[in-house]
Amino acid sequence: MLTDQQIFDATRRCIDMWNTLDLEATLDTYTDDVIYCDPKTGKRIIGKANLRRYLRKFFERWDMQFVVTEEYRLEGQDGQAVLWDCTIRRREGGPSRLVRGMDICMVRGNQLCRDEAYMETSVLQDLLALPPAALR
Amino acid sequence: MLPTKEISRIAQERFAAYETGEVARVMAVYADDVSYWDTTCAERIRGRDDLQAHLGDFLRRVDVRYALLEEHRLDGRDSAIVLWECAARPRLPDGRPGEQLQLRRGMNLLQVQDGLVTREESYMDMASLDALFPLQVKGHATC
Repeated sequence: MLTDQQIFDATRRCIDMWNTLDLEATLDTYTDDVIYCDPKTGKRIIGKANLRRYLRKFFERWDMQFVVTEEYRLEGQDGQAVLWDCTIRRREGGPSRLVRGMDICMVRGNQLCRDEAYMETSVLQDLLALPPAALR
Repeated sequence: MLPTKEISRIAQERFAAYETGEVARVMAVYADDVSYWDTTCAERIRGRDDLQAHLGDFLRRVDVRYALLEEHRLDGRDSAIVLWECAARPRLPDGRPGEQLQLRRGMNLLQVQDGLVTREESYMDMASLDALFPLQVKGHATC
């Protein structure tokens, strides 16, 4: 079993990389056989290659800054629940919005082998609907 | 510390209560000073009375049926996370569920004490329910 700190560090490293919008650095924090989903994936994404395709499009569209607000180890498992706030805006600029969410993350070694994120996405729809003038 | 079975029992009672649509039964699972938040809340709700105001309309208008997919106790705490899938249908005027259906998945954090839920955070994407419940969802909870 991993220590609490090892689990929290693996998740924090992943979140830190999301904040950089560096696609390959972010993918490095996931195992090759990762299972990933969020409300926008529709179904589970299995494997790093498929996750790369999804995240490439996501990172091209959104600028995100996550802050971890709470983290809890799951009893008897190499996993955790992590609560976060995310300030998100379109990559072109414009206003930002705050989104709160929670992930369940499972860790193998120092990488995430499962990451499921739950949040409200209407904020993203609102930002996508902004007219070009609002993005300057 | 509570036995894991007791935490699980309370969590299952919480979801079963929502399926009845009975406001009083739902409120009975919460402590008087419950702290509650879901993805439709601008701020955390504190106390059973304010929670009833938040949930009551939704429970009367929407029929929910849950499948609990996973439960995980949080290490060293009287808390658990529950992953679920919910089938939501608008209720007809006579209270029976209508035919329109939306499936959503979500995850709740539940903290319990003395047999009651003292903290709940419910994370889900309500955006896709807007078409089904155009007047009900905004500003109300929740699967």
